[in-house]
Amino acid sequence: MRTRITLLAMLVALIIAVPAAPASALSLSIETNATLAPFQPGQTATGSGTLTVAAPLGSWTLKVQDSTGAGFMAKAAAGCAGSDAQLTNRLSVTVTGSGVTSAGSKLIDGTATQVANGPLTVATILTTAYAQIIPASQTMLTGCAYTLTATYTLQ
Amino acid sequence: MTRSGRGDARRYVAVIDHPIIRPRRRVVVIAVSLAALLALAAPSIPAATAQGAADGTFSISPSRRDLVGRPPATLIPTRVSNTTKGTYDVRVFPVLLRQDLSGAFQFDESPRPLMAAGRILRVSASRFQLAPGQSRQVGLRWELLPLDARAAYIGVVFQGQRRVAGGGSVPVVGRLLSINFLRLPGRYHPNGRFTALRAIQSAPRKLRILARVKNTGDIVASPKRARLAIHDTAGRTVFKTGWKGDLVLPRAEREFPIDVRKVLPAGDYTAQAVMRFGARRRAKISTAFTLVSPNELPTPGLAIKDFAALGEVGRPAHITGQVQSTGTAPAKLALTLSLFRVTGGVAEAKPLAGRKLRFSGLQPGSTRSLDVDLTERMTPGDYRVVGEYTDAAGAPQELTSDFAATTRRGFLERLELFFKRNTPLIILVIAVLVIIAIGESTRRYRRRLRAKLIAGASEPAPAPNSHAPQDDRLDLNTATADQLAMVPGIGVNAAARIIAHRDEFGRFGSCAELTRIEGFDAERVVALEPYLRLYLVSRPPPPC
Repeated sequence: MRTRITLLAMLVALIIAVPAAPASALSLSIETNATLAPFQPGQTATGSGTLTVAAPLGSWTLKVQDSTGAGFMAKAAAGCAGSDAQLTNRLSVTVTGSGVTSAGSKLIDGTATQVANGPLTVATILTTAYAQIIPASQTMLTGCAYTLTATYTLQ
Repeated sequence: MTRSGRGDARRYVAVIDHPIIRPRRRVVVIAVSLAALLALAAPSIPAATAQGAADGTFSISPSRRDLVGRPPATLIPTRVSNTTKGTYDVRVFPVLLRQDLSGAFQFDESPRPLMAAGRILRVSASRFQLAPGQSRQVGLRWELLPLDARAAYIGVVFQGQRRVAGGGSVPVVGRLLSINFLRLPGRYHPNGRFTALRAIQSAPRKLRILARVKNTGDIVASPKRARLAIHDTAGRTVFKTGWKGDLVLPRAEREFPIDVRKVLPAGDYTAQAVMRFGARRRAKISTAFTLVSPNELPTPGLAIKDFAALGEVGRPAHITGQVQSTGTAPAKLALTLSLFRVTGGVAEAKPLAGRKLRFSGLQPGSTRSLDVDLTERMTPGDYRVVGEYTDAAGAPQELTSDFAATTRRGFLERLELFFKRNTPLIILVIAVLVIIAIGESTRRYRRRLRAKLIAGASEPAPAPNSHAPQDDRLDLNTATADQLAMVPGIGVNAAARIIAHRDEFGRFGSCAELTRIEGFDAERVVALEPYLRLYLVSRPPPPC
């Protein structure tokens, strides 16, 4: 009898919950990609982007990694002859937001590093501030683009 | 709902989009409550999401599953939605989950773990595109469990990369991790214990206690009825609070942060944490800590200043710097130095040489010099030395110094460089040598003079005394002022007074007569006796 009640309750719960599917959703919105400037030797290039996190069922954790490299910005395939293949220093990122616990500035590398966490939320906007130190000895020809794909994992 | 085809599965078949819920009675209450909450929240969430993310979102639902059943079983599919204005390239792959100390889940993306996860949980679509406003269901099928395992903790990564024109310097890929706890029906033994308790400085004047808990049972579970109390040295409770437990995977350890929301004055304290974990009786742990000022723990701090490297062709790279202890507690440092060749502005992946240095017991405010060679004889070219260490806060730090190997200097240049670098030391050494030389020279002069005096005094005296002894003592009645002045204890002035006394009163009858002279007391005269004698006419010389 108790088992039947349990199953019935679950069935009711699921039926009721179907229209409310977004409540259990985990979502990440990438509003803008960051563009760093001034991107030249002897400067610290900075830029920012935004992410929106929704985790309505519980606390969330956001990690970042360079899933294709070791955290060094690499030159584009074209238009970069004579430029250094990659930058000397790793790209760093700081993720902040209202009601969010930021892990501070973190160097991006090949393994996932926690950058922020927070309580359950229906929508929290996060600012991603990037900083790239470019030493004066770096050889970068004008017009050569350097990129790094930052992979954010929300759980 | 998931239907399993074996045994007593009908008693347990359930998929709940919520962390662990075990007792059935509680399931009824929670399921109904959850449904009600979800139904209530449903209208507000899309609105809030729309406000927060004007451009829409990339989302999955459900994001968590707790399934009791038997494989093979089909799970409720995951709906992947794209409400943005851009097209997403989506990749889906299962991963084996493990838990780090913060409680966050981790996964390994190397081929073998990915293959193992794919055997346990199969996804129906691994790559697809989602146009704006489109959603798609991804089917999940629990195929098997590892040998002898009764549970598996599998994540499914939904990776979405938005197609953006231009892209910027830092294109972003978003990943959503869904958590799936899969286990067979049966009896489990939740159990856990404390493994550590420590106090940390979470911010200036903010204390945090970290309680580390290990799940020693065979099922995912969480601490219950957890509390923390802080006592002072008199045993008084100065702070107490409850803390919230959360899921810990079997065999995993997790640290639970407990903020001390009170300012405690400087002093010694004991923190004690208690909890219940599964069937185990109340677990308890305590730790002592000291505050150097209100809510301030002694905190080590480290800084490396003036980090620099240089080198000459044919010689090792030389690294210098200053290690400073900048905190309020003794610090230690493990520094790894690596020498790389730089070609075209890029350091080679493999270091030419490396060295690990350890500094321990760095007292607050102290500084130690870093002065080491990396044993690689350099050829002409560009080099980079990278120093890696973990700072006092546990954050990895990296120092770099680029240099070009210079050609080796000639002998005179090196000599000049040596003098330039070590001028104070060289001046000090020269000064010490000069002082030693002057002292030695003075001592030799005195020794020579004394020998001469003694030789002069031992010549036959002109006195008419055939009993004149052939000893080294100076005759008080015949010695000149210069001779007397060389006797230890008699200076030029005293010698002059002795001669004056002798001229005025005649020959000395005994040494004791010296006490009549100004400046000579009995003690001084006794001290002079080994150096003086008296010749008396027609009598053998008496002892002075």
